[in-house]
Amino acid sequence: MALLEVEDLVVRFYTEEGVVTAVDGLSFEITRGEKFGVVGESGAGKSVTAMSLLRLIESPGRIESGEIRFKGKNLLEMTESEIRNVRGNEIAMIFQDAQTALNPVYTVGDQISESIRHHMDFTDREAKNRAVRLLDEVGIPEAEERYDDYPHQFSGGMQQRAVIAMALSCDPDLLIADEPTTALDVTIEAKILEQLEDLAEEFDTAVQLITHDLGVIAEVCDRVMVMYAGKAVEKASVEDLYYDPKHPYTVGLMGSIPRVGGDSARLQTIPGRMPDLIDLPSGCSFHPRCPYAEEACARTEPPLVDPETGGNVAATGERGAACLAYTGDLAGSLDYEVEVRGDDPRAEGEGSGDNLRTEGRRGGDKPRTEGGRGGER
Amino acid sequence: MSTERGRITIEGFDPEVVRERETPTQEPAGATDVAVESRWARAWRRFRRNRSAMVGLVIVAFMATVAVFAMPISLTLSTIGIILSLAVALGLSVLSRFRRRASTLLKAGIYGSAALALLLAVARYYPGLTGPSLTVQPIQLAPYDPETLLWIDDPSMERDMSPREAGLFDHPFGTDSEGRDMFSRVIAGSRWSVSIGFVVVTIASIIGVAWGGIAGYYGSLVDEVMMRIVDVVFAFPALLLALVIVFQLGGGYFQLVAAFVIPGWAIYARLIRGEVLKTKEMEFVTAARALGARDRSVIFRHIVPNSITPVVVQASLNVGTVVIGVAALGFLGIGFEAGTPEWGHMLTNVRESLIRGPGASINWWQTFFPGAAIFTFVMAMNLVGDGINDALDAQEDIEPIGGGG
Amino acid sequence: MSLRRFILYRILSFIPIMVGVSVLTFALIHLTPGDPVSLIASGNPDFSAADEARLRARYGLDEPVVQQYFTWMGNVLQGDFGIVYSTDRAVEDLIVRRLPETITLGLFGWVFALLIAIPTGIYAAVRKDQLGDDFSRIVALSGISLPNFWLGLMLLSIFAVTLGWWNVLPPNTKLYHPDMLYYLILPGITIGTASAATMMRIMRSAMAEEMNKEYVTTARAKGLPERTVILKHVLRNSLISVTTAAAFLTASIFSGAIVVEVIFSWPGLGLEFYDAILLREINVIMGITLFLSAVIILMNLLADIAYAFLDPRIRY
Repeated sequence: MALLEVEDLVVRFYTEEGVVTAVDGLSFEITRGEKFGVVGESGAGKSVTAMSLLRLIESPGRIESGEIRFKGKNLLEMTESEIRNVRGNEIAMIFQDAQTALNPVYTVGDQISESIRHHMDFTDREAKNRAVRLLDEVGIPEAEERYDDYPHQFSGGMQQRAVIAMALSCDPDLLIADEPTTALDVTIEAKILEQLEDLAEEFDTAVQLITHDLGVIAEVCDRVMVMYAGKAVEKASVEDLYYDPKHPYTVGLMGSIPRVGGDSARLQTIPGRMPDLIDLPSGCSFHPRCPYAEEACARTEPPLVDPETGGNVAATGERGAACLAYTGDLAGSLDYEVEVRGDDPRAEGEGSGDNLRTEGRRGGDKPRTEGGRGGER
Repeated sequence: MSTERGRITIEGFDPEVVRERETPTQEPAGATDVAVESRWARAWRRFRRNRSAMVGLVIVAFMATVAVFAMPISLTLSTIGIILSLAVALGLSVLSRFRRRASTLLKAGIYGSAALALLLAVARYYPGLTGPSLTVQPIQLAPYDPETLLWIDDPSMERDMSPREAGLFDHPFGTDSEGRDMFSRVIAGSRWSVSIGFVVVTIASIIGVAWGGIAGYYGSLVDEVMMRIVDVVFAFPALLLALVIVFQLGGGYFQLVAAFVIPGWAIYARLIRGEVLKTKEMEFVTAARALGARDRSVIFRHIVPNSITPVVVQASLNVGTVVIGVAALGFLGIGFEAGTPEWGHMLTNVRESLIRGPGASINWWQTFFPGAAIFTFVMAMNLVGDGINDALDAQEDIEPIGGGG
Repeated sequence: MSLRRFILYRILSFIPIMVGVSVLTFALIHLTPGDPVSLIASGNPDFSAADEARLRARYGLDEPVVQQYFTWMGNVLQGDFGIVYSTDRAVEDLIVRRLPETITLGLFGWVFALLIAIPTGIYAAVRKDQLGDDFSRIVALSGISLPNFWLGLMLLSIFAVTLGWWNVLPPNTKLYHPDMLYYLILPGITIGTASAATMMRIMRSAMAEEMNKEYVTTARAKGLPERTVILKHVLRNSLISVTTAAAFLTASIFSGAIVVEVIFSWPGLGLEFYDAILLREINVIMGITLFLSAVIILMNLLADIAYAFLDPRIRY
């Protein structure tokens, strides 16, 4: 049994302009100690999902249906005090902007100890000691003195570290990080990510990393879920996602990463924008922007299926993509190619230094991998 | 995990296919639609949906109408001329805001009408040229003249008659201690309160916004000096200052206006200065200046419209404060001639009779109706103000989280 | 700016503001045609021109205005606020005698206002956009819309005249007598209602604004009970801005005091001021104005300092 199992989560917001379906039948799992990435553009529903896990959705939002099973128990059916027990204690969350996440009128140390004192049976002194140790572990120098400092006396990177310390203070089993480095400089970002990875390893904490930055995902995560318009459109291991993307949206995302020295004069983008969640397109939500879309795509909403077998994998942790190309309903084919220069770690043992090419499926075909063009390294 | 990852290139994902497709793709998430509807239109929509605010608006509109039609209005020709030319000048200036460059005709119109207004005003006072009086508004809603002592013509009418005694249909509010019809007095009284409220707030906000806008924009010494002056005004209790001013200037409409404008402009100065300080640092201002816009243009075209929200809210809430203030002066018997049908002033007699202690008869109708009139108007105005606050405020509210991922 | 410098700066700015206040006060009284003596003379038909001239000389009114200002200010700084023309007594004695009454009344109103405003403000913010919030909002608006003189009149007519439950303060009652509370009730409620309503709205909006902030979500995500989130985290932040508002109430309480003291015959500075207006006692008018303004400025100063103390971002 996985640590976290989300099944068919539906979250809606009842606003003046209409009903926004922020999350539409989302399912995924996270196993113990795993680093799970959630990637997608703004508006895809990533943050809403995270907030739902801790039942922090407030009106006008409502968790309509679905189950969130954490260690076997459905979080959505817990009482107020039970869920409060889970928050901070077993599942912790860190947010994008550390500065606003910290209360400006209390010391940083106090805010960390608060969590400890609340969830664990520590005395004040014990809680303080633990907090100081945590501050030290996240890499804040002179932790003992800094304990009594206020949030505005910390730099941006330090603030985020403090927030991480706060989140890890009660040894949670799952840490949800919502765009933890988006607001930071690139150099600081690298350090924070590294810290996050180390701490996750050390404390054996699973991490759900939410971001729109593909580079961060590649750096940190084991498995990834790509979200679009409130649904999961692809789930894969990080290697598979990058080297063998199956869903056109993922392909588009990969293609839109700018590269130095490429031949094209313009940056490639995915045309159009994320649809208005009040008024989703019929059928596959992505079809208006998909170069391979056909009529069928506007009619039927594709389930999340295994690209090889076509079987529904929505509720499992298996590889899946939500495209009609894999259910066999697509007349044409997904006409893209993924060219990999240099090493492909998946192909270790097949001789390094070869150029490899993998091509997208042509309706009904199995993937082909051509090897050895005898290229240079 | 290998740290040496391959470099990935995607080929074959062609966005052109999508762009050239004939099937109308989904409009980008309402981007064009939202931009078209102006901030004010949206605010008005929100306001309309606010029930209590709409009720307030209806009441205010109703009372304003009553104020206009309570008694006939006669104006001299010169006054009419002044008002008309000022209105034309104002209207043209507002129009010029909507056009990029004011044409010479427009400018001539503005300055011409303003000059005409000035000319007429001067002519009025020096040679005393006013022209004949015209009855601009002939309707009289008040059944009796508010000043007439009823018992002079009609011996059956006495002083202090309750509504029941005087006849509910003839005198629904009874008569006061001088024998005048309360209903007419209350209706006529609306003129004082309603008009002074709006006039004071308009003038005070214009002065205050200009003052605070300049202070906030130029900063440093200018700001310091100007805001110290604001602090000085703030140091006085408002009613106290009003009392002193009326004490000096005597009673009368414009004297009362001055009495409340002088303490009143300060809050707007402070508000707008705060907003200007915030807005000044925002990027679009830097952009405008980088494009070479003149200071005055930057202030009025960019900063003020964005900072105006709290001023509008404050102004609408302030109307009520001024009305109560004027009524307080009336209640204290200061600034009005005895017998003026002003709501607060109508309560003066009640105070005197109450001091006599238990045993004095209470003319509840003399206390109740004028006070209720004040309360109703101020309450309605405050509901409107609150409605404006909510309508403009929630603009900044976040989009449903769908917009933020 | 460090805290000490900030406080010093604020205290120093007290001086120019007070100067400005004194100038404005003086100007308001003296910059009109006709001086105080002619005002007195106009009310007194037996005054001859010689009498006027003598009075002018005696009160220094024949000097140029600017010099009069400095004379007056010089005296004020030594504690001499001038003479009450009608009784020939010292204005400063009058102020000192009447001050405690007004202070008591004002304090009662202030405490009354806060006691009502803070809990209801919190309640309304927590129940934001629900029925409780709407209801309290209407109640608060009514409180603000109620003219205090009307409220006072109604309270008097109901409780004192009709029911006979309350009496106006008899003269020479000791201030520290527990009976004082009884006499304070009606005028205190009258003066405090508008302030209570205003403060409640400020409290509510300050709290509502804070509750939208990220640290509240973080606190909830830590699993803290809602009560702790509101009362420990949100309240502390709201109180910072509410404190300054509470100090600014001083000015409106003094404004209200004038009216309330007149209605209830409460022998304080407000009633004195009113009488002075009627009797055209300019020294009393100037003296009370100057004094009350000084108190208000002081309160604002305290508010600023308190704000600096309460907000760690300024303190450190």
